[in-house]
Amino acid sequence: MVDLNSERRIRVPILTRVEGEGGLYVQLDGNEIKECQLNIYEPPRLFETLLIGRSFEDVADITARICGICPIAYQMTAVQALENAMGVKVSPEVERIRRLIYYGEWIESNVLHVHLLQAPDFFDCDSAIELAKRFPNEVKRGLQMKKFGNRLLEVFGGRAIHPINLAVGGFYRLPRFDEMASLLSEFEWGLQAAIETVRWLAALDFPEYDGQYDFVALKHDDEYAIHRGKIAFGADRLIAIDQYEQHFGEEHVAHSTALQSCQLNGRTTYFVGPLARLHWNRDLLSSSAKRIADEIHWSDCHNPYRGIVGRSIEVVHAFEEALNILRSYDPKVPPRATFTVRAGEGCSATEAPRGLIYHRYRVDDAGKVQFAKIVPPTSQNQAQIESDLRRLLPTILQRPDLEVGILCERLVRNYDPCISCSTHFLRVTLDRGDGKPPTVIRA
Amino acid sequence: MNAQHLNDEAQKVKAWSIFGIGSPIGDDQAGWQVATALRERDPELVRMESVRVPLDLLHVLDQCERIVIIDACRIIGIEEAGDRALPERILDCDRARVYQWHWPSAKLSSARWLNSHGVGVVQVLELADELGILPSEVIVFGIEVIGDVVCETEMPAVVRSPHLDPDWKSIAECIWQKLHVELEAV
Repeated sequence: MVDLNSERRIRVPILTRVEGEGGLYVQLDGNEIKECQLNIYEPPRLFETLLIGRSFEDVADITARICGICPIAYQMTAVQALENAMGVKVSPEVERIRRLIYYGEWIESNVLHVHLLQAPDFFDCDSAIELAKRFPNEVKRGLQMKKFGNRLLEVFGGRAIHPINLAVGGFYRLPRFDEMASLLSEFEWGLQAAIETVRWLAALDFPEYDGQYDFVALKHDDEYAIHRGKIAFGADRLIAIDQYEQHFGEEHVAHSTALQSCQLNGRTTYFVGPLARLHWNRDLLSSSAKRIADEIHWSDCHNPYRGIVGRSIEVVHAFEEALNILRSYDPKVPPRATFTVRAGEGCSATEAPRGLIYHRYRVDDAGKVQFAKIVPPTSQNQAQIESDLRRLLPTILQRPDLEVGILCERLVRNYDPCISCSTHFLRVTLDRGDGKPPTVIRA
Repeated sequence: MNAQHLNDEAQKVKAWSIFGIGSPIGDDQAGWQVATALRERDPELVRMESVRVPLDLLHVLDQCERIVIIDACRIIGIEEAGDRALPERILDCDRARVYQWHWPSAKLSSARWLNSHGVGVVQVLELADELGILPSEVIVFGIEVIGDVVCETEMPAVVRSPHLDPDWKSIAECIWQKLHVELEAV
């Protein structure tokens, strides 16, 4: 029996099924939440400082190392920011092929999260292994989709993890037509598999939750924004990417080695990721993605648990749009723009699988980096995750510590946090203040 | 040993797919270094792939008859191991200890494996087993690099002294001999 009049401390020392290492600490005094901290204790990785003095040509390869799951997000944002700094214009065909390779990353990352990391939560399974016992065909289907996303990255990026083909101005080399053509049948299969996955997940019973989020995402007039556009937020505000830092800032909090982002006006939290993208861009989904969203009655959604469905709708979009680009692929276009290296400063924002990512660089006239700023999606969601936990906790306090810890972990996993990116795994500590040692959950 | 025997043996070895797991950096390079040394020893006979994270194995396991996985690991202490028996140590050299497991083995959990998203070698093998894509034979070699010195070859400010590296070729030779013992049993 839980004594709600006592102080409690709940600690999840290591959050499972997320990337990176962090923990969760909750201190309660009766029904009052005294502390609720997403502890990120991985050492700072100091990538921004590592870049100082390096050639602009090295930036994509170095920033790719921030994450093995979403290297394209870092590379793409970096090369675009450097292009803006040096006044480099890329061809429309390069823009299309950039979207294509980004879709590969969305597929492999979102499918991994959906099938191996988050889906077990909705079937009361402890792990993907347990899920595979009950749903072998669905898990196999997911792994096959992920494989095809990886294949696209290998063909275009040279390898699936830390690809090597993205450059300022375009690509070092474009794959031959036959290399691309080999992907067509795989992506046709993948599109149907992704549609079936949405149907499977939409039938789940989700916890009720209304986060009333301020969604922040890229928005573009002509496409479901992924690598360009304006930043949409608030009721209906649109700003150019170069105004990002006038509206959003980062601050250090003692319990985290990752910086936490907030909106500068009011220091409020905000939400980035698939739900935010769908909020701002649903009408620009591909035809099959729009059709399946209508079929499952998807409406503007502030329930983070349903993010798994949103993510899966985006996988449908990614397969279909990738197919469209693959079918019209022309390897004869120049892979890379010619340009003159010059001093300058520029920024860019793109949509990583987990949400908006922002980079800004200043280079000297030899193209050496003088300044670098990198804001990953998980840093931006971190304060929002703590805010969500504060909303969730009062509704679950009467439950035993272990269950509280598990439910907190599930909430955090909705965000697919990449703690290694933000600097960079999670555990929950529950201190009930009853004189007993805090409960450490998932050690 | 006649030509036919050699040919049979070659065919048996060909049926092994060797996967080195790791990266080019620090102690994590053990899997790649040893797998590469095995291929150099006999490029005709060994199908070898270097993979970065254990999850990548799931994409290739259904194409393999027998697999060997080589990865860096840390063996847990005897106190922590409790009832879990420690694995067989097959080599104890100056800078590394090498352990061997046959799947399925509860002893695999007596090692800590580097992983991403909490999905390491053990979880990947369990998942593959559940999905029915696990090859009939799986041997895992774990390499525990000894010492506190972790240097990164790619950082010019920190020079990795070659003598600090384990002798990857000796480790590969030891694993090669062990694989031949396995072949005799096939």
